[in-house]
Amino acid sequence: MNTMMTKTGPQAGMWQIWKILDPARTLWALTWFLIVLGLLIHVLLLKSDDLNWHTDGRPIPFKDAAAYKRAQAGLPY
Amino acid sequence: MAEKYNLTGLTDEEAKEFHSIFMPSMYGWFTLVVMAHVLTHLRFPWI
Repeated sequence: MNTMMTKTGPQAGMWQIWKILDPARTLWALTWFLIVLGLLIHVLLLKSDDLNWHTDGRPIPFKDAAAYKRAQAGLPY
Repeated sequence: MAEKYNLTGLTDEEAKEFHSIFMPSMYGWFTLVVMAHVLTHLRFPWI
């Protein structure tokens, strides 16, 4: 009988991972991994042609939308 | 048996305590990430 199990099921003993991986090092590794991964994905998307949200024209730019509305209203400017 | 694999020096209680904070935090992060992707895909569908 394993008296250290707090739960039943396949993940019952997962807390023991912290006797193998140092929590402080793990948190720092996770922090920097997630920051670098996030920056990498954002840079890759911004460098692409059709996934760059600054140049994809979506939504229609405010100035263009305003000009369209003015034209629809028959305003000359 | 389990003590044989204790490389970090944490006691069982310390390991369980850290685990009890780590897991909900991880699930919270996953929830945040999934929500961000759902909202982004609703606004700018990429597939």
